Amino acid sequence: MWEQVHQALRESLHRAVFKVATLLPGVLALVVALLVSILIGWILAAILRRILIALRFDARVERSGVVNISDWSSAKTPTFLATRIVFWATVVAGLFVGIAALDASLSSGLSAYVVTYISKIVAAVLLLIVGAIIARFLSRSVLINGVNMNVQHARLLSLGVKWLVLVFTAAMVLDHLGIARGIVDLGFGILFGGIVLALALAVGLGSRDLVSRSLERDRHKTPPDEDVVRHF
Amino acid sequence: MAEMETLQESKQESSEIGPTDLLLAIPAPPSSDTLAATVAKLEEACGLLSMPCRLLLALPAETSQEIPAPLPGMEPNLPGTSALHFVNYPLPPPNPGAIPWIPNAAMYRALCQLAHKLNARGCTVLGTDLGCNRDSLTAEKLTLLMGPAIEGNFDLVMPLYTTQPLDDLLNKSILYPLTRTLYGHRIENPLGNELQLSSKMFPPLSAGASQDSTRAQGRLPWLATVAANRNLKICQVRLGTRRPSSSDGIDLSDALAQLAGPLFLDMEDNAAFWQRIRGSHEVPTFGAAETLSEPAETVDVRRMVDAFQLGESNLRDIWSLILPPVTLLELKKLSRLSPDEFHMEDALWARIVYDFALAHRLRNIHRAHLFGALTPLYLGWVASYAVEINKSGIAAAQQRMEQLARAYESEKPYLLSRWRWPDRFHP
Repeated sequence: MWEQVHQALRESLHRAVFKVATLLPGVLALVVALLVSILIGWILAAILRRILIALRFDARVERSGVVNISDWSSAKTPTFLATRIVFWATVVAGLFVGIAALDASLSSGLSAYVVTYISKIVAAVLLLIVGAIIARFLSRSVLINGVNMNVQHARLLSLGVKWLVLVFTAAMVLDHLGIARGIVDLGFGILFGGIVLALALAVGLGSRDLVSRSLERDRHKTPPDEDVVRHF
Repeated sequence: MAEMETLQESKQESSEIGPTDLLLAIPAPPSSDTLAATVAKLEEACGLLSMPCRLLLALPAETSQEIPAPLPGMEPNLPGTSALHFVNYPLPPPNPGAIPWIPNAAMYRALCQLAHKLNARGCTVLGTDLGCNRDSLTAEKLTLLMGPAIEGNFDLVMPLYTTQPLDDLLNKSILYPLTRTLYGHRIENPLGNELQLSSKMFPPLSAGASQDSTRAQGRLPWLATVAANRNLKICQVRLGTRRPSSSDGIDLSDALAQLAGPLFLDMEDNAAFWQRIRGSHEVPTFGAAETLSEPAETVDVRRMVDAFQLGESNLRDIWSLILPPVTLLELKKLSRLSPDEFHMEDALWARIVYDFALAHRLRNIHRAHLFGALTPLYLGWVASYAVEINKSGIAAAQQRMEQLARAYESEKPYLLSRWRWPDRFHP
């Protein structure tokens, strides 16, 4: 009986060692691919930085670009952002090559899954950027138009619009990445519905007197200055 | 295509009509009564001119179905002229978002192309006030407008209107002083649409737009700049009181964008030219000045001051993208003043306008937002100006405008510095 136990243990150890021995080249390939991609990324980023500085890329983007990058990027300069993108893209590519090597030794569908997920992450980042730009544009539009329409709480409205768009974008991003999809859908529905209901109640009940006073004031208001002052 | 066809037709007509001295254009399809009155005034005006001329009346293409050329029974006996002929020019469709009384580049382009093909010596444009309102048009005004091209003295004749101190404030606060400072000519109504162009103005106005069509399509033509750039002779004629332009449904921010926006674009295009100009000079002015009556009521500036204060408290972050810290500090101090003692320094206002022109060029913020952010500041200037007019009366108004224009001129080095080195820190 001890003979059989001993044999079973030997076979198990053999299988484990064989597995590790099979996996080791893949892990090594992953590490090498990662290190090489970091090196290549660093070189590419350095070359790109020099080229962009020589081309005065920052000044050009600032003058001709519709979007002010510094508002949504911590990098502060478009050159820094571009070099960072190139560096990390190279590292991610190296990581993918390494995972493919590891995957070959594992003979599983890991690399296919990672590729699919990376494309989702890229799309999610783009969604986030576009959402941030739209949020900023809309909040400024609401703020400026609100001030020009003499709305006293224009800043609050602008802030509300900004966060509404950002929350909406975040929900879209999480949904796209497939993270807690059910919770996001439910949470967003409750939040959005709650905001609309709260606004409806606030206007319908809380601000009833305010609205009636405002309407009364409009009815009895004196002619505006524009009757005396002509702008054009 | 329709534009080309109309111009081809016009060319054929011109060979039938013969040589033309002056093209007289009406910007909108006139009613038959107004047209008859215009022709009668033209007849009278031609009698007052020092030399005879051959006239061609240009009407928008839309009127072609109703008015055959020449009009039966309406051929006037103009002294020293042949019969008055009519010709059509293509009138571009109105832009729904545009202020209706502003002429656009396409209209001037069509007229200049037509006048150029007809070898006319000049083109007189009657604006919506004189061209479509028979009570406003007089033979004296027509003579004043037509005379310079016929006598060959001036290349651009601009109108000079008599306005109440609190009328036409966008022109008084931005358009006039800025144009004067940039290009050195004291043209008080750079946006007036009753004007005359000599043949020297035709090539830049007819060709310039087609060279950069995306930028120039529908863009307000800044004729004073075109003339100043080419060192052409400019004069003004006094056309009396202008009927106030309709402001119904026009948002102030939109008006600022449509009126000041083209001037800011012009600044970008002609930066090399205006940076060389120092000071300004009077342009010859013809016609008798009208005296104004003292306004019966004073203006309550509280609403405008409130609008400024609301802007100061809410738009500070946006203004900080455009204005330097010292200007923001001055605006903060200004927002604490009561309506009665509200006063914005002319130099401060001039620097604000310059900073916004620079931001327009650098696109610090979206251009649609830029003019919205300027609106409370503009209302602040209007309030300050109205307080002064309330105190000093109408006599000081003209002097006040001159003072503002001089402030713009004295602050021009600031503009030059900011324009040339926008990245340099300005406290």
